[in-house]
Amino acid sequence: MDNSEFEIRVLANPRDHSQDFLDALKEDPSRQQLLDDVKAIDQRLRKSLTSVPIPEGLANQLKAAVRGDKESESNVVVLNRPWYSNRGIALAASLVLALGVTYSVLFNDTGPTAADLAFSQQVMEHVYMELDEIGSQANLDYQMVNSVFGVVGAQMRTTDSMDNLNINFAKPCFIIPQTRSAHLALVGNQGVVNIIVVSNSPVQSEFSISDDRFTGVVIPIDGGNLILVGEKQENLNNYRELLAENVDWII
Amino acid sequence: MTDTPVLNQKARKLRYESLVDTLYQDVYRYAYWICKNQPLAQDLVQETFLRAWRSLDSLQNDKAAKAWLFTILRRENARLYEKYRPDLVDVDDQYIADTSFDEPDEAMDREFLLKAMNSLEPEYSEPLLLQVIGGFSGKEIADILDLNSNTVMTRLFRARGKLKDQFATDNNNLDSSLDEQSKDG
Repeated sequence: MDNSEFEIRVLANPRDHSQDFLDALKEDPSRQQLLDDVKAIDQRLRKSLTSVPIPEGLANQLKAAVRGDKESESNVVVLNRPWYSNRGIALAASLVLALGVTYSVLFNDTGPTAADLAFSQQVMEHVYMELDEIGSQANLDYQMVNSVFGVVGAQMRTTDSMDNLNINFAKPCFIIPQTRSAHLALVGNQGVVNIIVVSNSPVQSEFSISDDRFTGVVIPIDGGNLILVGEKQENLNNYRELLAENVDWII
Repeated sequence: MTDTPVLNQKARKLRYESLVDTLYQDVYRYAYWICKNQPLAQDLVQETFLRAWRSLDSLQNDKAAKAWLFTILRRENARLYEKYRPDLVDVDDQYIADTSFDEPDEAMDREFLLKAMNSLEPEYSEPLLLQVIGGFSGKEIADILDLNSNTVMTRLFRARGKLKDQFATDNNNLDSSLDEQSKDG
């Protein structure tokens, strides 16, 4: 192996352990120096590239994200599935829901745009999609909740009033492609209350949404949207005030 | 006796969580270096693992999991983010430098290395990242990048050659600077 070929081999892979490479290394003392120099650069490079800080709670988020993922269950036979997990019924429910949302929006001064309406439909569809998973993670602690809230730059404070919330679902989600969202659910006075935070601003003005079962409100916040969806008779203002007082938004 | 679907699902979840625990840091670092933005990298990792979960049954051997995940990540990056690139590279580079607990000279060294790495074209930096962060062989890198092994080795040779030249230039500049300082003194 001549010097030129040896240099190519060193630069391509300084950790080459093949026999012809090791034999060539012994042929000329200057080759060891070259190898040491390149290995030193590699070591510095490795140290720099692996110095990227890993986001806190990332592993928990990745595990939480697949809980209740419907697509993954398509190949698994599950007995006694809830009625709303049936594809045909779910599709029909979705179509009814879409119409319900469109006609029950309470317009404010400017009124929601077509994009707002489409977004609110996506939100409601997402709520229905997650229904059978909600409740599967009873009594989530602050660490778990904040690892999910952290995805959208929010942080829940530890207070007595928040302690009394029975949060039983927390999951990062993608209601809109390429947009991070966090979905929490808790047990309200009338049933499930969904708290969804979307990390950018698809909706610019506040408006209410509802269908045959749920009522909700889409609230623009700095850099994103807070969405509350609960059963028809649920007083969402209580949760709105509680969140305003106890959640720090850093988005 | 055959496993029940519930048990299969439980085993599947355990397998997935084991992959997360073992590989999420390497996958995140690779994601960071190909998109150079922390929030985007986090999204990318999230999407990658979600896709991995959905097609977990296609992974025959867990020893190949890292290469499999890196391949998914590259595809997701192409699908989701290659058209959208917020101009935050400098901010994030500074962030890494600021969060380092090294001595000042080590921090300077790190900053220089990051700039040198950023100056490489993707065709050179990608195989180098896979080799240095992923620890992959030339053959594995060729499979991930869908290139032949000779092309990969050529690109690795050129990538390190460019870095080595930059280090030589930097050292010469440093020597000149020290000479000037000694004359002034």
